[in-house]
Amino acid sequence: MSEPHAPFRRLLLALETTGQDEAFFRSAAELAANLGIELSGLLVEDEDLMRMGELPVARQFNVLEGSLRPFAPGSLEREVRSELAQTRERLSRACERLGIPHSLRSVRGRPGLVIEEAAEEADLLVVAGNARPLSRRLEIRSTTLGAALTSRRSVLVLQRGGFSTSDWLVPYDGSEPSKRALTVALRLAGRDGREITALLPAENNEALRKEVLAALPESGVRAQFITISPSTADALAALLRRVPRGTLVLGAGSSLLDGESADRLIAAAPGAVLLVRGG
Amino acid sequence: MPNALSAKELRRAFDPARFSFKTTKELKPLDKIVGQDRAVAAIRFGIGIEKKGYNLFAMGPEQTGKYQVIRQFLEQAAQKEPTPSDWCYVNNFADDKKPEALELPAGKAVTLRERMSGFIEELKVAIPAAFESDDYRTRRKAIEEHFKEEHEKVFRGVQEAAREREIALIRTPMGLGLAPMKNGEVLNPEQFGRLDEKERERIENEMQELQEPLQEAFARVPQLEKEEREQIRQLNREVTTLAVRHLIKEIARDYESLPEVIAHLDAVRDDVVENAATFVLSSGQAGEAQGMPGMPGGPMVDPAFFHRYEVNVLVDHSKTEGAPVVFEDHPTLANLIGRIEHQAQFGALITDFTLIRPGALHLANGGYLILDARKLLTQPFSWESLKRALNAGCIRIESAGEMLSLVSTVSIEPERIPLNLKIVLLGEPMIYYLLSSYDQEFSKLFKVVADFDDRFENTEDNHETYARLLTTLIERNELRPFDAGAVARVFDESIRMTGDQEKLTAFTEDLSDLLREADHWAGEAGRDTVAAEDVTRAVEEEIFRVGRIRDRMQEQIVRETLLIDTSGSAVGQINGLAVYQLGQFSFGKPNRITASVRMGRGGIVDIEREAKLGGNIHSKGVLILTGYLNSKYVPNHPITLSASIVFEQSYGGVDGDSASTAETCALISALADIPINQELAITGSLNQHGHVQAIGGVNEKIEGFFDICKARGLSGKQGVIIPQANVKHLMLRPDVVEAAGKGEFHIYPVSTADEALEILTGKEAGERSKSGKFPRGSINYAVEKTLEKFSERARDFNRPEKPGAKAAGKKSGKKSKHESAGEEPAR
Repeated sequence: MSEPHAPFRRLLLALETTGQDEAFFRSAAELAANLGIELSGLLVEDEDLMRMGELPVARQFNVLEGSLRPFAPGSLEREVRSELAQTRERLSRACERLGIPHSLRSVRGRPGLVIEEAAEEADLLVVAGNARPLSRRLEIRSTTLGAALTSRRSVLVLQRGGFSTSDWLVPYDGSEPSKRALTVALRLAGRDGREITALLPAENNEALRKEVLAALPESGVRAQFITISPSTADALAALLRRVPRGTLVLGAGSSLLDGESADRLIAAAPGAVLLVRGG
Repeated sequence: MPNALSAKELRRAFDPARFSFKTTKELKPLDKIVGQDRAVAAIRFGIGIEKKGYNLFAMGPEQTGKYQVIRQFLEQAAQKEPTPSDWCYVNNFADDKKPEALELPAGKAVTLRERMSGFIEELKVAIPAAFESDDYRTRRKAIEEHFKEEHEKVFRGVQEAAREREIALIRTPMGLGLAPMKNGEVLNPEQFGRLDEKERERIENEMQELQEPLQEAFARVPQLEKEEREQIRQLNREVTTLAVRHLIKEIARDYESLPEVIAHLDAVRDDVVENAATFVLSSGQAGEAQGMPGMPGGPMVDPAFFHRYEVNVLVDHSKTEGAPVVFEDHPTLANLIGRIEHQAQFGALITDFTLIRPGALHLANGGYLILDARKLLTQPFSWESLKRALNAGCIRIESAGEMLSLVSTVSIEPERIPLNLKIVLLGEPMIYYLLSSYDQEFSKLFKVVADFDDRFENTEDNHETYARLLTTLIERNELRPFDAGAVARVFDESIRMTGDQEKLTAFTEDLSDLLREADHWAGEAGRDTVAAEDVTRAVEEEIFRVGRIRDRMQEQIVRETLLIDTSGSAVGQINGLAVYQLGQFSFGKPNRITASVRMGRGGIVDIEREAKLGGNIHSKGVLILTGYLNSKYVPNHPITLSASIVFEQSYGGVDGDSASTAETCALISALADIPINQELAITGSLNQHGHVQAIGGVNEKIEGFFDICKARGLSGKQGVIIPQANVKHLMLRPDVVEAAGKGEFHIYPVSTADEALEILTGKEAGERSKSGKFPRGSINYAVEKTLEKFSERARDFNRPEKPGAKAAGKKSGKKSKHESAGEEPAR
């Protein structure tokens, strides 16, 4: 049922028990609808979390009261079941609105292992950037994100800025990873006849521009260009802070993604971040 | 015996040849006020004096053209005065229930309104643009990241402390969970079960120790959030201020000399900064507005929100030259002091400063306001509010509902506007005198009275001026020119309106009616210029239109349903004359008055009064004639008279004393037993000394009797006796004058009752000689003799009867004198 030129054919929504909001499901459903594919959800029940509920010595910190209390017997299990029910409901609502086939299963285990295993069946992992925040600004990185970033599949990180199918930000330096990213971005953008913004380094700028322009005709996408100078992760992060919206598309292995820069770029991005892996 | 008046004396007809013009086209309209020197002096004084309370009351009868005169005069004066300030209401950002009034130089209010309107439209673009700028995004994101980092730092500290203690800190669906771990994994129950007691205790203690850092960390969270909000708010303020500042500076530059306006603009700037989010939302960028100051509760922006920056121009003098002159024709409370309108919104009535509407006081402030006193007084609360405003020196807008505490709708209290104007009240003298007597504040607030005359002197000097006044009215009404003959006819009618040959009317409205109607008939006749016959036709047509009642009455007399003799003679019967006023039309009608006398002590009975059909003045007239008879006849004897006087076939009431001479003559005729010539009618009031005094409506009265006589055929002896003092009031219809000229009808002027009696009876009245007697054969002799006879008879009745006479009388069956007195004829 997927579109012939869709860049992704199997999409896996990696979910965790700390809850994803309605916007997350809506964005994922829109992407699936755009690609014309089914949306499969996988709720990872973190083994550590489930063990915690069984330990008599474990404590729950109540944020509102500021006190530690033992877990009531079976309370954590109940909360997880409740979360699973809510997740199913949100996923159904988002998909049914767009008429997308969907499924949801839950697997208990260590998130990294579960996702690694599940990723074999998918070519795009969709994860939330953060767990449900403890306060407006106190966000804890989601366990699934950590797992997804280390997988071999492309990853779409959805975060608070939302996901836009109309604005695509593609750093392009002529490298293979950036070419992969550009190809995917053009295929995604081309589906709506939108435009992409190519972020080019100052060096060799004109030649890179031509390369991008040369790639456009097939897709029917228009392009605009922004120069990043210097061509570093920090400069890119600074630029991203000024951009109002858009999905950042990066090729895995890009020089911009060395060390901890992935986290910085994800934090600076105005919306979703798509990390493109594979050939 | 006085002679009848000549035809010339009966009407002062104007000779067109006396005019130097052929038509009014040759005359210039009046450019000044004439014939009202007293009023003009008062107006000039009232306008000139700039002290509190020197408002004017223009006093004069209705339709004397007071309004035109006042308006013309005020406009002339106002042209030389400075144009007053504009006034507008703006929002009070500190308390929107109390809108602020702004005073601006003439013509500046509308400019300010337009500038502010443009300013807000520009802000709707400029503010969202400012928030979309790269600079703003970068700065905002930097703040957000900084605080995100701060939050994480706080939490990271706790995480590290936990890790050091081999405690896992895990996000649970409901919060944070703490559990012991080993090698990066949470212990399972079996692993935990294998731990010794000491280790378990250590773990529990370690976890307990984490409580405090966790508490501190989460206590810091709201503090950091608050700091972040404040920094973003400050950033938004800076960005908005930057966007607003230069725009508002442009406006402020034009109003530098007006501190109130500058203060308002400052308040607008501050409010815009506080409500920047609304501007952003109005541009459809709901996302950008998140976390901004003034973020409204709902996603939709109420379009009415931007009304707060509008300028409600209450008074605009951009097109006024000099001071304003305003006439408020309908001085209701709202029309006078302004009003606050309300709008229904979801079942509630709401209002704001944009719904304040000006009243006449606002519009005339700094100039002149003309009001009709009667209308002002008949409108609820208007008079009281006007006085309150004049006393306070400011305008306070208040509805009648509020005054009576009837309305509980939330309203506003606009700032009061200082009041500095002259009020000119137009009213009749009665209103002026009533207010002077019953309203203590009136004389303090209206110190100047402009007393308008209702007539001009009919002198040669005034004729050209009066003709020019007519020309003014002709031009104002856009009528055809009047030729000299037509003007002369209008002069005739003007005199007729005053009822005085020596006066010309100042009732310009009545004159205008006549001119318009004459113009109409000239048009009907296909004339370009109005001629005398057109004026005559206008007069006749008007009388025809309204004369139905008169004609019916005359018809009843001619057909002898109403009994009026116009031939022969009769004792104790006379033709009196009455005037009927029906709307604007008045006409005369003869009335038969009869008197009967007999011996007795009843005095003179006024049947009209007894029947409660006589008015006070009529009763007074009858009492005066009693006094006249008492003083004139039988001075040495008490008058022993029972008489009665009545207006025959009168059913609608009688008032006035103009019939007192007629009543006297009828009574004397009855006493003297001398018949009165019924071919004559008489009018005139009488005083106690027998002098005949002037009455009103002399022309209508004469014409009323003439019409009856003419209908029956003029005998050549018919006529009317009038007071000598009324000769100057004669302005009779041409047909009456013509009949008099031919000797077919006669007008006799008299000064005394005796003169009237001589004309009416053809006998000498008779004057008392030195011996105290009236000449034998005279009317007065006969009257005195009758009265003496009554007196003697009465004396006989009052004498004690001789013994036996009563018995003898009874025996003989003869009636005594006393008993028979009641049956004895009057003479």
